[in-house]
Amino acid sequence: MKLYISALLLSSVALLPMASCSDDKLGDTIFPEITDELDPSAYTYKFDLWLQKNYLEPYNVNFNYKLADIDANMNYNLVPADYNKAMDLALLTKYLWFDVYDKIAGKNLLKETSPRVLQLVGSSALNPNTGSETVGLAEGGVKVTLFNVNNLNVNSFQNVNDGALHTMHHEYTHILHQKKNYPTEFNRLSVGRYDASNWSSRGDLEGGVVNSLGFVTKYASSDYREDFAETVSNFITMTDAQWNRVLELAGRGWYNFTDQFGNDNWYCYYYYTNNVANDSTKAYIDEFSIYRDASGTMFTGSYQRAVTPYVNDTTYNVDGEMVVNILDANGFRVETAGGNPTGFVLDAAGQRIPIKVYPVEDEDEINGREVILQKVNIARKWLMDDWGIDLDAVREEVQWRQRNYNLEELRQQIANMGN
Amino acid sequence: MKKFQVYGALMLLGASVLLTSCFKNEEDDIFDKSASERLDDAKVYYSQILTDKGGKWQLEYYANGDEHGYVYLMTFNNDGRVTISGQNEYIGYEYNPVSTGAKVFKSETSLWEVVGDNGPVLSLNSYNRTFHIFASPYDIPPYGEQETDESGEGHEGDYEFDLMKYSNDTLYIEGKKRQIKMIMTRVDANIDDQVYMNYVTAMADSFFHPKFPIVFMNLPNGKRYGIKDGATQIVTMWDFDKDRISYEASYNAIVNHDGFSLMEPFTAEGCTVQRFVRQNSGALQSLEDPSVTIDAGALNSDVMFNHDNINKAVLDSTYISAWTLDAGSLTGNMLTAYNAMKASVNKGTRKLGVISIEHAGTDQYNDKLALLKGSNKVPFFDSYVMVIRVSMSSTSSANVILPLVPKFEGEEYVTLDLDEPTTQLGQNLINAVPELANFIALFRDKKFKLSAVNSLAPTVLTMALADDAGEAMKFVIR
Repeated sequence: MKLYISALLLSSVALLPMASCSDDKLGDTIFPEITDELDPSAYTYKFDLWLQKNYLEPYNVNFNYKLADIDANMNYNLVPADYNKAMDLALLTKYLWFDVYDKIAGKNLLKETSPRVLQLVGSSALNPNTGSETVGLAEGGVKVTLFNVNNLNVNSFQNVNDGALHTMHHEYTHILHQKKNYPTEFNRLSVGRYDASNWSSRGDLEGGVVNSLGFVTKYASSDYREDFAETVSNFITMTDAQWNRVLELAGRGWYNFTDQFGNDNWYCYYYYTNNVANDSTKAYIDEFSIYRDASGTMFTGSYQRAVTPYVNDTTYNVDGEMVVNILDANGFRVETAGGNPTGFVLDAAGQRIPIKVYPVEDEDEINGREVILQKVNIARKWLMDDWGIDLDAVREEVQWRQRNYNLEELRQQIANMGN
Repeated sequence: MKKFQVYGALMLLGASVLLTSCFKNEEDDIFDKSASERLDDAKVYYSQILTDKGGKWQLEYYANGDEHGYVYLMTFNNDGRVTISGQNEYIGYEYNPVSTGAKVFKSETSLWEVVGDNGPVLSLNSYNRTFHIFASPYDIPPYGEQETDESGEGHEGDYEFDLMKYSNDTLYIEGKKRQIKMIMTRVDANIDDQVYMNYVTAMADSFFHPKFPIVFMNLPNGKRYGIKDGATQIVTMWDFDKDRISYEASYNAIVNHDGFSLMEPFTAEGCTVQRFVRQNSGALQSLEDPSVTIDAGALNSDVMFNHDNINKAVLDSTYISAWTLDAGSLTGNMLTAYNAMKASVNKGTRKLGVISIEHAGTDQYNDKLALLKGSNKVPFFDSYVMVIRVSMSSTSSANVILPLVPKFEGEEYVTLDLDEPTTQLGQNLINAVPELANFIALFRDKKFKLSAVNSLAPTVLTMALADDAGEAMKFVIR
């Protein structure tokens, strides 16, 4: 009998889990109803409405201009963005980024690929331990954080580029290649030349040393993915003059000299003291201390100096009059003033002899200019083939907009909201 | 079979557990609304509180645990804007990096919002130049001005605050990152921010007078704690019956519009106090426990004759008080005697100078020791003196220096036991001008009552004859 009771219990227990909560009903949601209606009485109403119409609705992008601690790394000391700066940056971001891609690649591209959150932060992200500064941060293609907004000069496209737009194009490139890989051929172009640890201390002249290694910026030399993002974003945002400068620096030879204080100095030019070419007279000179004549020949600002002792050289001119010249120890005629030697050697025409300057030979066996252009080509083809983005058209459009944006006109977009 | 029974019992137990798991939904909810709904309600509740009655608040703001607090005025507008006014040296640096540290008033408008996190949070979430200087990572003041390089750290201040409690027009808040508890108190919406902040600054500059390095927190059981460095608003407190060096503890504090507050509550002798309100007398009274007050102590033994306290607190002897007679305040026979003395002293190049009561603990009088008369006299190099300064010419003087032993009664009364002059020059002068002796006689062995308008910073003491208030004078701290 006990066996039956136990068996009955067993069957009851087996049924219990199935029946246990069968009467439960889903109640009302515990969350209040969320509405995206904006409050017309709010001071920020026009801006919020503009953001809704220009970011949220067309692209599903939250443009966060307010900063809550939880939206940022709590280990950093940060301040929110200035409200007026935030409005200007929202307008410029739309005009110089979203509108450009819309025009070149169609409306859907950014709707599908842009980060879902753009977060503004007023101050830099300064790491007190390392002294490093983060200018932008992309988190998994979902959120891009822009720092130092309060120090932007919105009337200077260069400042806006350096402080924000370049970062956006950079991070957006990351998002694109995280969705579809770019050709691995890109990674092989500079293999072995990346330096993740010391990229920031690579000596340069405006980044020229890394340019000659085939990178557009120092940061590009840190890692091939950063290289890719830097190549694309700088190609888009750099002016013609800036881009040509990169290519020009990339074609140079560079000489490294560590001075007595341990500072690295990099030179692209040298001369020989007194134009006497040997190793002991070779000296390096920075490019800002040289000039070119009409033929493009380079000189320092100095002249060849005479070598003492001086000797008098008496000659007779065509009229038979005796002419007294002063020659230096090497037999060169020396300039005089009031009959006394000034110390400078003169040429046959009686002119001081300038000291010639020569470019440093490019001995790194890398055609930096060519490598950079190859990288651009790979990116160009990939963007077109995989995304339908015409990189040159994007660059051309961005360049035109950078030169021609009218902030006052853009501000009217917000001022006119809700009218 | 036994084994089977055990299994059966276990299964029964299992069934009961399962049943229990389902029954828990039957319990009544503790709250009427869900957590999310309650948070939304709290956001509305605190938003209304903040904007109510004109929406103006005084915030006692502490950026971190290493510096004193700063008063800010915030006016919360229903449209999401907040006007924040402040007056401090860091605002001065922010607007003028080569500032010399002057407290500069500025007012800026930015945005505010009560947002939800673990609870309602007041977020000042757009940049306000007067306020966010304390949250900025940049170095303020600029490196090399006054402080060490703080790049990346700044002052580490919060700009988001958990709203903890509201009571009696007081909001209790806590910085989200640093967890420093702060207090906001509602103020009249009609006040002018700059007038208000000017007043706060004036209070902060004069509240704890640097001439009174020690003031006292008086506890109900008669115990008292010394308070040092009040003027810096980072006060040091210790049981005054004990050794300061061994028992002192520092407290960050703030001087606000109405008084003085500590960043954290102070507990001693069963009392916990934090906020003090300035009384008409100048003394501070605890809001939490009105029986706890702060003042400069007894006017006789702590204020006018404070040498022992300074010694006990191991403080620099320059803090020992010196008091100068305000001759214009003399009344009654005192005035008559003074005028007669002055008329007699002032002859030719001889001129009556200031009269003071001070401690003679400095070297200036030590070489006169030999002139002390009698062995029963107090060695005056370590005693108080009354000095009647007389200049004989532009280069010489014949001061009358009278050693003085103050005898205290209660906290207000003092009898001046004046000795004979310490120098022959002084004695000669008294011999030549009897009116000097007459004036001194009005003080010698007389009992005076001391009073002061401000009992926290009693820079002016009124000394009146104990039995005749019409005979009075004022002494001003030097």
